[in-house]
Amino acid sequence: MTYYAVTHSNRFKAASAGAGATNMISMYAQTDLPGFYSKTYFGFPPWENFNFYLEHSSYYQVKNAKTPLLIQYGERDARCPCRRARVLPCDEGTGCTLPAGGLSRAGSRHRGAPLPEGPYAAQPGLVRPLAEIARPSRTDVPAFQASC
Amino acid sequence: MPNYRGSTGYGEKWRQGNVGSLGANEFDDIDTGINYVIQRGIADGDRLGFMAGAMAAT
Repeated sequence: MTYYAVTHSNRFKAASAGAGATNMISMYAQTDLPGFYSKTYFGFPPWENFNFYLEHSSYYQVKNAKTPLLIQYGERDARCPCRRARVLPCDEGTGCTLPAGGLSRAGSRHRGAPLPEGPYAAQPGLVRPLAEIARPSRTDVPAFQASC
Repeated sequence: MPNYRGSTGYGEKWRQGNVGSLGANEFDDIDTGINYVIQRGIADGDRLGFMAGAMAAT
């Protein structure tokens, strides 16, 4: 929903995405639940209606995104693999980079918000040690405070 | 935290509310909720943030 929100609305001053899917075509096969999303939400595989998958993939709507966005993935997340975020383009001229794991794109550095501390190197996804659960709050809150 | 269509707690029709329109219906519900809390004076419409994880981040 974060990716959908920032590609369909400009009413938010900052946004944070924890994992999530940006490309439903690659998601069809690259997740550890192949076909789950298509069966649950679409009802057919990509090759039966390719354009439908394109329309529901934020990756292809990213030109509409203006909101500073903090992107966070676990490097060992098999459900929403980290490479899903690495394909997101980073606006040139912002000085933004895409480090492995903990990611930040586009406006967050541009607006003075801090980048994440680094990769969630050993994280498999949402199941993680207690110490790591608090980590998004340490990255999201300063980013939101800087942008909102 | 909004409980938008496609989530749980309101029966099967509600649960199926985002099938075939992933993103649009959920965001419409969230947007409606935001407008409501702004109207009530609970939220500042000029200082909105959006945070979600896992499927909700998609």
